[in-house]
Amino acid sequence: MHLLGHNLPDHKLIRVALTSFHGVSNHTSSRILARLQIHEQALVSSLTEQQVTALSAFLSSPSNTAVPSPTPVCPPGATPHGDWSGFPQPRTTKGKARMDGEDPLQNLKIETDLRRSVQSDIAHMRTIGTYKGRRHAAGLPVRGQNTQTNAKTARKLNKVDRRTFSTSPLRPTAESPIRRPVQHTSALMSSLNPIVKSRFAQ
Amino acid sequence: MADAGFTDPNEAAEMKRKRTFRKYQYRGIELDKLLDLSNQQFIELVHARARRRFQRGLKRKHLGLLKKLRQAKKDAAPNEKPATVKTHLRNMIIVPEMIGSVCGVYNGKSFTTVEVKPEMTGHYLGEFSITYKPVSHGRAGLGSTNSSRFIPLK
Repeated sequence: MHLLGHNLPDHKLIRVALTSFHGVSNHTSSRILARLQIHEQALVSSLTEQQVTALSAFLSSPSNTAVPSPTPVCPPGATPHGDWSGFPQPRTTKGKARMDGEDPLQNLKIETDLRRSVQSDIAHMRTIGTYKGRRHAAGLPVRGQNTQTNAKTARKLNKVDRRTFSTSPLRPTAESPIRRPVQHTSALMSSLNPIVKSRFAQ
Repeated sequence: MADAGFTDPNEAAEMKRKRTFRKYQYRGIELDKLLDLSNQQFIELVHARARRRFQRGLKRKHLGLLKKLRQAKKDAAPNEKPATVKTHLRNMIIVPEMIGSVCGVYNGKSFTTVEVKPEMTGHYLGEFSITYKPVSHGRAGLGSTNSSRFIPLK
């Protein structure tokens, strides 16, 4: 299934498949599913049309998506479809509520937004001239790691306009979908076929 | 940005304020409001490390620095930068009160002059004064590489 330029394999759990988005961790992914009331063990192939639209709506603009009110829970001693007004409702937030009162999913940044904000943070450190900004610009480790050997990741990545490293270069993007290698080989094979045949005919 | 033609000091002061007070927000707080914050409010605003530091209290030496900066600001002529206050306290966290001051931050050998900008709020003074000389490699010298054996030494 294709979702916002990402290919989510049908056989995977949707919770796992969502982590292919830059900025969606396992935790965030399960929070998103809880928010959209999708079962946490649901496979990508099992998603309904509505669930897919809900997911894509959420992922394309997390801040604009309405926060649903918590689903009422049937209190102990009440009849499931009866009147619950006389019963106390359980607390909606488990443990301590967030101090700032903000919803973490509302402030979720993914993909380009996240990359841009990381880059702007680094650029900010560079412009005010902090040590961290210097280290980024020099392509050296920022947090006091050794540099006598190794420091490979920093040399590869640390720049003022940092590009985050992608582990799978073959991921198709919306702008330039990478064609399957199969197409190339089949075209190649068909062009080779006459030559090979002529060889064997001799 | 030395705009000639501002002879009136008031006008110049306003110009300067407009110039320096760009739209900078520290954690969603405008600069003007940042300067008005009480200590308690500021403590709640900063990052966790600084919060812990302030809660355990700024010690005598650091308060002394603040006092000196205050004094330097007071003594400064209007529309002029305050005098540089030299300090070894690289672990001083920049609070809004210090904005506009000039510090000489010791790097182990000399004092790096740091003009405190609003964007620096919440950072340490030491972050702006590098303690080492960044490595830069020149050409390899004569005799250091194998191929230089064939170059006549004159």
